[in-house]
Amino acid sequence: MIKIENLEKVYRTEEVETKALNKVSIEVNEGEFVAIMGPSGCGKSTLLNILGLLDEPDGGSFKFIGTEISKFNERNRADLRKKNIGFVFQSFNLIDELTVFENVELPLIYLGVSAAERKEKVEKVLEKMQIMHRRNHFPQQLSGGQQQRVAVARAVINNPKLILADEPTGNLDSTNGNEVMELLTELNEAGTTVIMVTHSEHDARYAHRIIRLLDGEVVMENVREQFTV
Amino acid sequence: MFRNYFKIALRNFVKHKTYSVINLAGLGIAITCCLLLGLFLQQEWRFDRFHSKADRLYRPWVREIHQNEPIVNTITPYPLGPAMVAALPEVEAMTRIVTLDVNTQRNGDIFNERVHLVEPDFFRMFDFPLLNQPPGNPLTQLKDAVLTEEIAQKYFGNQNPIGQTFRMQLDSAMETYTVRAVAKNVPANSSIRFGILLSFENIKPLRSQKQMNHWQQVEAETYVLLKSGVEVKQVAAKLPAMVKTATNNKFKPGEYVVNLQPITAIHLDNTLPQGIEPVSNPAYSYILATIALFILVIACINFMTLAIGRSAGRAREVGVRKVMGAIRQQLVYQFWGEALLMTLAAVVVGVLLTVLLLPAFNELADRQLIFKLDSTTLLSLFVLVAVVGLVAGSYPALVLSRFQPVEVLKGKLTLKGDQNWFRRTLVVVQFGLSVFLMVGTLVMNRQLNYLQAMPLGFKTDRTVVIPVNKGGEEGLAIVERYRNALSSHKEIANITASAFAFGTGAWADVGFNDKNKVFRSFQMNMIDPEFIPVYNIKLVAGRNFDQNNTADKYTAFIINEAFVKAFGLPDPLNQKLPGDFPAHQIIGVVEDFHYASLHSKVEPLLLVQRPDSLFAGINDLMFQSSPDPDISVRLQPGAVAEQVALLEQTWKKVLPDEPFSYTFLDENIASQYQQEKRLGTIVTIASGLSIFISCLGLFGLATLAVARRTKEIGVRKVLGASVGDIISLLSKDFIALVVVANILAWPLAWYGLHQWLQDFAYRVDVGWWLFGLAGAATLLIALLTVSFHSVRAALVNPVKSLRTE
Ligand SMILES: Nc1ncnc2c1ncn2[C@@H]1O[C@H](COP(=O)(O)OP(=O)(O)O)[C@@H](O)[C@H]1O
Ligand SMILES: [Mg+2]
Repeated sequence: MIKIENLEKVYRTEEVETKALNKVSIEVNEGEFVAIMGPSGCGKSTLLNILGLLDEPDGGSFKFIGTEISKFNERNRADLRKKNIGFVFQSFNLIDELTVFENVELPLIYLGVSAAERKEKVEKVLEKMQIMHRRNHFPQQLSGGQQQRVAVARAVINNPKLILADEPTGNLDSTNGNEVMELLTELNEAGTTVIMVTHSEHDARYAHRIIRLLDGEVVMENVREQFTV
Repeated sequence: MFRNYFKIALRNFVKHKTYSVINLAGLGIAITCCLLLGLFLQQEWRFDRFHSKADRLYRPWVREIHQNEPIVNTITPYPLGPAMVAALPEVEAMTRIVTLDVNTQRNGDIFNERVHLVEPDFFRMFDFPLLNQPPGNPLTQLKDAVLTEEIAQKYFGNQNPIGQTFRMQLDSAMETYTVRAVAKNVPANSSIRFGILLSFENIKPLRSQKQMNHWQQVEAETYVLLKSGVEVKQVAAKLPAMVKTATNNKFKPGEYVVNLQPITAIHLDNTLPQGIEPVSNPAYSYILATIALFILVIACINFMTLAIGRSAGRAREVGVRKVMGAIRQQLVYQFWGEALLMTLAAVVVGVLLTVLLLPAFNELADRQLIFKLDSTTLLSLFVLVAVVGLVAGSYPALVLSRFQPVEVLKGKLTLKGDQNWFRRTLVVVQFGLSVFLMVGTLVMNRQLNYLQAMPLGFKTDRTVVIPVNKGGEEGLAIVERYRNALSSHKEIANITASAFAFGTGAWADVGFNDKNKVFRSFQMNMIDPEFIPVYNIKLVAGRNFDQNNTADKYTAFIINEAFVKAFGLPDPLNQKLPGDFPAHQIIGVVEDFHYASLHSKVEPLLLVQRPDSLFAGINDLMFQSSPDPDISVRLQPGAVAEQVALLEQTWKKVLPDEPFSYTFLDENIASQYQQEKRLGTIVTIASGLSIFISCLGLFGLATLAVARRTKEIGVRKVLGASVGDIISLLSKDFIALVVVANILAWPLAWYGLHQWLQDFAYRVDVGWWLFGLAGAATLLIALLTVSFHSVRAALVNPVKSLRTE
């Protein structure tokens, strides 16, 4: 599903040049659940943002579902993104001025889905995430775990093929964190590819495979079974 | 999608109340100012355009070169109109309009009215509709009259006025006139303003044949209607030949020039002398338009700076929406939509405020403006919403929408250098405009106070002026009868009569040829021997007129110092006027006093009791206001109302057929500065509002700044910063901007005010300390506004602010 080769990303500020990603090559197949781990500042988020078409690489190739997209323009990337990818962030990133229902509805609006269909879909997913009773609340009125469930609901509302999660449990206690991990696992079992950045070895165990980064380079890839055995 | 935008706009509005209220109030007030001033300007700029043939209507005016001196007049000689009709086939219709101030009588009530004598074409040239009447000339007989609704109501109440009669004295006796038609009241934006129309034929018995054919005596306004399709240039080119033929080659080429002024240009052209009605100074409309624009810009800047201040908060929304698949264009629409929505709300507020404040504004501007939500108004409101919304919303729409989600979502978005500069520039512009208006207010008010406090050279207090509406011997007889009647009342001792009083119109303009045959002119008033003592005018040489000296009556003149200087009379009491005048004597010289408004310097003046002898030696005489006597009475200390009542009772007893009216001299004099005073008040209010709106914006910015720096303030306090340190930390930035704004605004304000002051012959210097004052005031206001937040932030327990993270 995803195949990147020799991917590079360089940040230039006035004096410093940071090589955030240095010749990274990874392949992720459809239906996989991959965890990306590594110390702070090693380039995890950068990689995830490029995978999510939010950011452009400076070099290398990037094939997404068979299409080379490293040279796509902003509009095409936005189009590809809204149809195929869902995001979950550490800090939830819900819009404060919108209710739970409206936050979840947002991707459908940009996809041009009709109001009736939106209602049906959003209610179904809220039901599934067990936050239907909170549909008219605003994000600040929810607990962190509830907010992240809303964010997950929002990420899956348009049935994406790929879900990208950047430290989804980073701001949650262990109970809520586990709940979110269960959700991601369920989604993965239903066929969605999941790529997750995490600091927690515990969370990484939910994944099939762990990719370890250090200073912008892949240092180790291992399948979970091998790792735990 | 739009519902979503709308919802989020509404929620944003409610959630960020301070911000919303600041924007709404600022824009609302600005739009109110724009609407009110716009109504005013619409009337000023669309004067006389209501005539359906306005583009073909012209007022001829005359420029005569008399001994190298140009004399320009919009009041024209009688033969001009008929000569134009005879010589120019392009002229479709013509009317002369002459006004007379006359006494009228209806059921024992006596009024003084200004009547307009017009020719038959009047009714087809202009759009002054008659009620229930076929169009055409209703004034077929000499004693026919047309009244406006207002006058008809005044004379006949609710009766049908058609066919009713009233009495009017044009000549020596009251005569009966019959109402033939009622005209709709003249609209406020008309340069022709009548209450009673009579046939032009009525002037003929009052004027000699010679006067009616004289090309150098002016008394009537003339209007012509050109045929459609005729180029005015074409007509103008034929005018010199017309003058030549009509006057039998009396003038050399270029010596007597007739020009055409479009009727729509009359009201705002103060380069020509006024005709029957006063005109407006066009500079004032531009000043007001500029002020309206300034205020609107200031409010738009609020919107933008606040949007920038809030951009950190909204950037996250932009990021999330982009991650969810929004493209930039959609966000541009969203932000512009929000700005338009806010502007729309502000327009609603503005319209409500306009309706509420219009009566007060009408009072202030001395207008009868009406605010109607007709199609033009709606269209202008629509344009206003569009322009203001697009301008004000341009920052969030164009800049915020460009934010990249990766950067935003990392949560480390800070204002980039150029955005910070942009915001600072806006604040500087905003305060610069406010400072400009504030300096303007200070200087204008200083100039007005200066004029009002300036010694005029005569006493103005406790003086009542009573106009006599009869001229010649009859007028003088009325004065004498009244003077005698009042002589039995000891409490009223000071009474004098003169052809012109102060502040109600220009004194007579007299032209003569001096010994070298050079045309010269001076001003003139006819007074009685009481005038100089009653008005306490200072004689610097010679003596006053003597009541008992009969020679004084016709041949004694008193002149002012300006006269002495202008005509070079080193020993005036032993010299004669430098022209071809009958035997006379200069018996006294008075100190210059300001008999005209302080817009002009004191001109040479000659005072005389009876002008007959003087007139034998002059070549030109021009009355811009009625020379009928005005009686001035200086009241004794004590109750004014009782003394005025006594004046009225005495008048009604001895002069039952004459209307009694009075004005207070000081009010008449003050009225000469009405235009400036109104402008001054409007500018004062406007600058107050502009500063208020600017401060609203500053307040909002300070709110945001403090919110953004809560943590920083906490840390600094923990590390030992004092309350003073924190306040100065937060205020420094804003204060610097206000200082820069001042420095930039001062030279511009100085230049603008310097221009404005050129209108006055006596003016204050602009005074650099005023700029300092305006600067200090803006600084203080800004400091107070910002400190409201900074003090609060500085006093907060640092533990609390650190916990907010
Ligand atoms: N916008 C940026 N500008 C400059 N340097 C950046 C930027 N974003 C990330 N970096 C740098 O790139 C490296 C990788 O960052 P990131 O991908 O956020 O790390 P991680 O998510 O693994 O903690 C870090 O050294 C970071 O400082
Ligand atoms: Mg990271």
